Amino acid sequence: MNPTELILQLSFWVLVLSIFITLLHLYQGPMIMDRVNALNLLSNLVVGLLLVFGFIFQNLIFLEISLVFCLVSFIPIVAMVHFLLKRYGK
Amino acid sequence: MISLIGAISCLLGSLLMLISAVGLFRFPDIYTRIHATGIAPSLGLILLLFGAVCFFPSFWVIGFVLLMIAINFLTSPLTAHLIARAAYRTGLDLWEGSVKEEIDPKDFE
Repeated sequence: MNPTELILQLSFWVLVLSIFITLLHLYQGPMIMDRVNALNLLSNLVVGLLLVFGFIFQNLIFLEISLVFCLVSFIPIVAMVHFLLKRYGK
Repeated sequence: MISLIGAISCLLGSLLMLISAVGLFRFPDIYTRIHATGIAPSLGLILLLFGAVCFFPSFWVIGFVLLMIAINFLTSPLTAHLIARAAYRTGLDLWEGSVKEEIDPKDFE
């Protein structure tokens, strides 16, 4: 097997493992801010996974998809923080 | 050869993201977990985008990568600061090993 493909597969599985770890923290985080924090990390991980997909399939469209995802991924965090501050903040 | 360099850089970036995901479980407090999720994925994304430049070497991709780094450097501190501010103002306690609290909690009205 080509060593480049092997390293790309390895980095793909590392990213999938870290996404599952983050999902476990999203499931069992004790406070709601922990869950928002895990969601923030999850958006970064999905951007990285899209980039690795683009390297594996040799396709340039995944870079544009990851740019759009990077642009919109901070909006839900801002919306959730705004809601939490209005509801529970002092 | 240049694609091998890109693949190794891509592996380093994904390992940084794995370190950041493990840090969610290792840190005791929300304010220290923000260090794990706000800082390390930016460097990981930079390494992955360097891999993108190595895989698709063209002038267009370099501008694209610089644009993505600029967007990530704008939004990543924004979300980290917002999460820390909301966690403090909704009354989450600090870890008992913390040594300094700059703000007096009685300052809030």
